[in-house]
Amino acid sequence: MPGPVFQPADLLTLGPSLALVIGATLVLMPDLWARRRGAVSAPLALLVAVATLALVVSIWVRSDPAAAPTAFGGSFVLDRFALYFDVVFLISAILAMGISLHLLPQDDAQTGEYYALILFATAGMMFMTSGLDLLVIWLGLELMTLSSYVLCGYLRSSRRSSEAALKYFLLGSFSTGILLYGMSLIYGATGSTYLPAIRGALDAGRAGGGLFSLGVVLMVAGFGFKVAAVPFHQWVPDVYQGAPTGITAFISTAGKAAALAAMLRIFAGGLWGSQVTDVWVPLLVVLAAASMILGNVTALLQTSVKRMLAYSSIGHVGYILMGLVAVGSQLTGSGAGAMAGRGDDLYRFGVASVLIYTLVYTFTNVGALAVVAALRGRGLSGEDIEDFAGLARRRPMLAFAMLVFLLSLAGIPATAGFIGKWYLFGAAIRADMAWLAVIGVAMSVVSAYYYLRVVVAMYMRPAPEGEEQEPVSGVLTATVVMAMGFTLLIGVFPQPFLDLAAQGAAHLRMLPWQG
Amino acid sequence: MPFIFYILALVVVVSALMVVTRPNAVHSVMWLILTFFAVAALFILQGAEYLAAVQVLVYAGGIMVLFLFVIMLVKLEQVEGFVRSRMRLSAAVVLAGLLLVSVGVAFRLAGVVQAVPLPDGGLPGSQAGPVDLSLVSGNLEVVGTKLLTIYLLPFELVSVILLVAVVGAIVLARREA
Repeated sequence: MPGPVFQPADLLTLGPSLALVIGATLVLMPDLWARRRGAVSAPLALLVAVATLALVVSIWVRSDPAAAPTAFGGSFVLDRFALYFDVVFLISAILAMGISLHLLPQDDAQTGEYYALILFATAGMMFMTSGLDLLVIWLGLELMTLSSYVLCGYLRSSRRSSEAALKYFLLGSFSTGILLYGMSLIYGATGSTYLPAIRGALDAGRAGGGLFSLGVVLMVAGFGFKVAAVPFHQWVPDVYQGAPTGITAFISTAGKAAALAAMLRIFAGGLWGSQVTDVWVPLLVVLAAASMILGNVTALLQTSVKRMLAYSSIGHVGYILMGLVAVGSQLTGSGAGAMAGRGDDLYRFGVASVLIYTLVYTFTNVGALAVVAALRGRGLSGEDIEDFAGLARRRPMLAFAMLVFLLSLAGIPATAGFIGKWYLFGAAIRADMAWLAVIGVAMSVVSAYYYLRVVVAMYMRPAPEGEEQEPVSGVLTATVVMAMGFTLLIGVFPQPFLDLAAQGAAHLRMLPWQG
Repeated sequence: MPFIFYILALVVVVSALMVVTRPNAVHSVMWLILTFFAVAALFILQGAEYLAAVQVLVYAGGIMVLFLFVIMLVKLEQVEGFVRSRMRLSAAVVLAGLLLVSVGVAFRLAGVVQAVPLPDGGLPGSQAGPVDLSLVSGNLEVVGTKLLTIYLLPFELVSVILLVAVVGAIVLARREA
């Protein structure tokens, strides 16, 4: 039997996630006595998220770049890889709260629970990223998805919202079941859910062949649902369209980033060797190519901007999976020290490209959805392309912000999206997967067409007569400005952000057993 | 022993099939109870008495009563036209069959799975392989010890998930703001 697995100091390592859980519980309370529901709890939730972000940043600054602190007998790790993703989740949560603070009062639906659930979901994502035990990763995922189901169906007076919640719940729990089945097969094949022990079984050649491979296949399918890669994407359009816009922004960025982080943690950080990569790399090649093609082509046909962004998000997952494929193609050797020189460089380059793209996509996609939220008003949903007609006349600043986000999504230089795609495509080419990069570039061209349709509507079509819109609140303005600022900043001065991503990538293999 | 196992396994498979094929939801629930009991018996066969007891208490007891309540509340006696398209149904059957075959092949290839010792360079206090339950008297103790030592973090995480479930249920069920 192992020794004691809990020391009080472990709670410090757990710090950020613990702060979120405690904060979320506190956020549930003020509604009991506050005069207006959400009047105290919503700003409090924002405060908790910002404070946690500050905590994460301070931990990063003070952390030893050559060490990765673990807790709970090694089943939880707070390395820079985890911290990097924690920052992404918190940024996404904060911006999503900004959108919600503007929209929910319009629906008369402001409550503390909504914001508390966002915080709980963020804590779940942190556990997914930090977990070194399949059980911790899975429970983190459950915490995230359970909160997301409720948040999708939060607007109960809206049929679309309820439909979104139900679809998300049914397909989500089904896919979670598949993921769990895959994990249980891996447990059955190796006798452990603990990544180092699974790794040990692999190295010792004792990971019962077919059983292990099937477990990996099912886990890829389960994660495929979570990141919404083709063919596991059917739920995406309805859910993204029906959910409250703040939640669409949150689950389409942070939710996917969490699943990607868990995949990197398990497949790129924990288990490698040809027995694993031979299974998941070919699968991901197919998923990446199919997602890029189908997501972008279907987005062409949409008239709702929210739906168009949903399909385009499928395409973006395709690009990111390409980065994962590039990483996986370097992990074919078995045992420690199998990867040296060029392979190791490429491995880090690939991981860093995935990391930088999740950050870029978070700012860009949340920003675009924030503009959609800003357009909502009397008689307008703000979701139709028609609603964008003449926006440049009516609200030049908002139109400019949308222009920046759309150019970034299309990957035009001087925006963050260009930097992100540059690195992802570069990783694929360096990993001798040039044909995949070619698909990516071709589909980027396709995507430019439908993004530019919105731009044309904004700048070249006359505004409809006599329509008035709600004034944009200060908090939403701040959200849009922040997202736009970072989209441009990363586009023009990418180096500091690339350095951060590189440090995060370097930490993915920092623990002794990772060789 | 194998003889009992095969009988129980047959009961599990047949009753599970009945659960998904009965048009009447109440009948499905009844078959599900049988499934749960048969699975509990399989647990006993493996020497996991505690798990069997929990299976009966929580699933066959609590969860099933909840299912029945919900079915009575929403008057879901007959599900009409659940299967709309024959083609989808056959596609689902083919895919499920494919999964079944690959699981079977995978288990066949795997042979006997052994418990794995900790790898070199593993962290102190990390999880060991599965405990051979048949060697330990009273596996309630084993489950309890594991739950509060090496699985302490997952155990606490579950409590947060339950809190979220409670909050979520209230959010979705509350009458009107």
